[in-house]
Amino acid sequence: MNDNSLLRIEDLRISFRTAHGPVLAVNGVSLSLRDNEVLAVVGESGSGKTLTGLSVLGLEPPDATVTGRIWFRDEELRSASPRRLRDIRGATIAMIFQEPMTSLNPSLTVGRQVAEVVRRHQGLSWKDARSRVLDLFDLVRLPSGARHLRSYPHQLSGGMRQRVMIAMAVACDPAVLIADEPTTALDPTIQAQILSLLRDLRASLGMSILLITHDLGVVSRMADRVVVMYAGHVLEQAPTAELLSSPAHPYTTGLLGAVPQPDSNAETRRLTPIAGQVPLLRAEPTTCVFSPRCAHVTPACLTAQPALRQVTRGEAHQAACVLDRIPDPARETAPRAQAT
Amino acid sequence: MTAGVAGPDRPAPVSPRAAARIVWSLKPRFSALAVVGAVGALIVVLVAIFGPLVAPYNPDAVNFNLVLAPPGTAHHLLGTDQLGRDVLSRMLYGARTTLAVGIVSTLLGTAVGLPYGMIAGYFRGPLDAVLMRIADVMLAFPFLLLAVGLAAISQPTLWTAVIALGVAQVPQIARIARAATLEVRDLEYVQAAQVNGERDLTILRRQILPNVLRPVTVQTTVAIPTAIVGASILSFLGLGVQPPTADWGGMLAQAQQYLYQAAWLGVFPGVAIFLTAFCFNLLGDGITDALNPRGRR
Amino acid sequence: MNGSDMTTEPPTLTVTGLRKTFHLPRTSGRGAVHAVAGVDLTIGRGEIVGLVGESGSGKTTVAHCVLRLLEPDVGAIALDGTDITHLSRRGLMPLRPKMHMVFQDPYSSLNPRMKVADIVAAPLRAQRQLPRRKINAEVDEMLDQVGLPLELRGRYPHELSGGQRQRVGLARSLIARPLLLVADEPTSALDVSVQAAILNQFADLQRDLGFSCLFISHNLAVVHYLCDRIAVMQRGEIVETGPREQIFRSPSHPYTRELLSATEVSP
Repeated sequence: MNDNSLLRIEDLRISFRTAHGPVLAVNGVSLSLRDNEVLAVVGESGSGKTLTGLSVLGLEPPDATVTGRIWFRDEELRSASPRRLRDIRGATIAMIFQEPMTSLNPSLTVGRQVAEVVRRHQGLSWKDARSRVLDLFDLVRLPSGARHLRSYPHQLSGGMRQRVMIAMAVACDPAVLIADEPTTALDPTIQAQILSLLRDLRASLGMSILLITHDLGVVSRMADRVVVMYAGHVLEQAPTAELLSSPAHPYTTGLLGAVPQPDSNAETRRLTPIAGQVPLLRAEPTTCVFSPRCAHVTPACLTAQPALRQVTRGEAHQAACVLDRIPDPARETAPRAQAT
Repeated sequence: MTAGVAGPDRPAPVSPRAAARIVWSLKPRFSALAVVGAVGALIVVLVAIFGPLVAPYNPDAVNFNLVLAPPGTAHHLLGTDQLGRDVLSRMLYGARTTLAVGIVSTLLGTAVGLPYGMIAGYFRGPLDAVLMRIADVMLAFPFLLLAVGLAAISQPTLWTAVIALGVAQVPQIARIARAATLEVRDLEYVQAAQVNGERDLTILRRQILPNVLRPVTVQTTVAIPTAIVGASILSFLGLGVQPPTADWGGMLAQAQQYLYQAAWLGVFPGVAIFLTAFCFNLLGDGITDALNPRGRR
Repeated sequence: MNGSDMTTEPPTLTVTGLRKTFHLPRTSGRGAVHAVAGVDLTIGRGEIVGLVGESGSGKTTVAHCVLRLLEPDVGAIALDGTDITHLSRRGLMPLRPKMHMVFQDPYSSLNPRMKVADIVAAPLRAQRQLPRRKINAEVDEMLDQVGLPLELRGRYPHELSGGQRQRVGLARSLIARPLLLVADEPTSALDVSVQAAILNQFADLQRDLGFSCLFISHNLAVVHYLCDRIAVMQRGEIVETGPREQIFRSPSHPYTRELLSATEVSP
């Protein structure tokens, strides 16, 4: 492919048929992940972010209808053969999930599970695999690695299980790691450790990370660039620092305003919730998807879903909004929150 | 808030037509076999209730002039037995006895086992340990042994059979009730009820019982055919209903001697027991399937 | 909100030397778990105290002991001056309206077979003191106060959103006007934007009704938003307590510092 993108998603659309009609879970999402970068995909529940991540490896549910193209280097993944996909999964493109307890086999030891990945993709003997597993346990900073070769998942803590998952994921030196809410189920201090581990691994192994999360704190600590998703659409994308300091979409502003931030200098300002809920799209939107909940809605917003356009301020900063400037939310009086 | 927009965990408002469609789809899906079972069971129950009203003869009326008459004899559709009693009439009255023992004993077992299991599961601790150990002991005793024991104490009657069979059901039902109780006991809404200051009895009734009823109902419907066969076994062995009371198991017992001369004396009650148990079994399976949470939507 | 007249009114909650140990069955390979190993805590009138800790710290066990869902092994718990540590179920009955709890999981904290109005009315009905009409009026008022439209009275929990369910839980826990509310991670299971709404609602209710609160969370940012004082818990013990700003600006215990650095959101 022309630009230096490692992974490129083009106009991804994923829909389901339900008893009440179709649901457009992902509706025209395009993004690109470059070499050696961490791209965060941020959204609340119902945004479609997890499905987007799953679709890269063809792991979306079987009853989903998927269109669009996904490029990994020069290869288009959606038209790849099942065998080729199996070769890629786990070796070139790896994935880790939110709940390690359900992604690890409870009846096999963790040593065995990691060894199987190594053997399957690199054809090592059991003996060589064993020493490779020990190296991996060291790499992911699993304390007393040798002892845990024979441990079962339920004997490990949440943080340790997540480390095992990461070991399985990086075992074959993948180019891309897709991490779906890897720390959501973990305690804050363990979360910090796992995130720092991922940062170090990315530097030492030179892999790119597609980080799916709802937590803006994780984004600020990990990501180089951010994509904000809502109701199956990309509403904004920008380098992290710029997104957090000068967001260009009211939804992003809303998210930032809704998160409590202990700022020892300023007065504790009142949180600004976003009234309403993330909608479930059943048809192509005829208005901006966020307009029902937007505090700055204008008549122009009700004509069509705005396309992503360059924001005048920054480079590589795009937002799907008709506004050029958003009034500062901190100065608005927060209305008495409606029941959400 | 935009009206009509569905949220991730809030269903879209439905039109009346759609609502009717949804209700219709929730009707329990009975397989064809289950319907057969239901119909069969219903027939047997109707026979048990109304049969004796239409029985042509008194089941105990002996007639030494017409002993061992084969089926098809005038006025005796199913023939007569070794004492000249009309087999059809005895079959009709026997339905009542057999079914009564089977169903009443199961209901008895449920009435005792349900609270037993709920209390063990709700209060846990030493009470639970003791109750379940007792249940384990009960489980180890086959109902036959219980019936023999009861027969040793007093005369075997219909009621000793009911008690023996009922007691034998208690531990299974108690186990199921206990498991269902444990499932919900630690849920937060039960904790909330305790914090509300609700009495334990109220909590058991409002929060725990609804969750227990479903699996226990399933077990009960499945246990009835076993009890029916069990009742027949007991009377076959002389540990239950005593002759001359008409009862399918008893009829089977007496038919043994006449197997070559009057095979029908054994065939009719035997087939009746089999078909009844089979139909109740099918019905029980059907109810189990219908009550099971459906596969993913 | 500060406690008012401390000399005449006892603190809402006094916990002294609380210990609670769980004995696991021998087959699991682990012996005794000292969930709570000596906790002291005081909450004054109208005060919101945050209890911060990670999983396994024992904070939920403390909550259950305070509410007497569990009986402490060692130590004392006094509610509004009354020792409730070893009261029987019957002895606790009259005191139940004085304390209540909001739970974390909006799905399992409401009985799926009960209507919203019945769930909210339950604490009043359990006391059997008010007539039905009065109870219904209280329910309506409470629903309004938590920001729920009255037409939700007859709905079932599965028809409501996560945020609405948490509001129902709030209504239920406050309808009897308790002195003490224990909130166990009430917003952790909600989306960010909904969490903000619930936190604001919570702050408003506390200001209007004046109850004391033990607010349990692992999220320091949320705790900072709501609480006056903060207690940090680790492995069954409280390692540090103090006013909010002191904990955030000059934490003394290394674990507190570790927690703080793990939850920074830098714009």
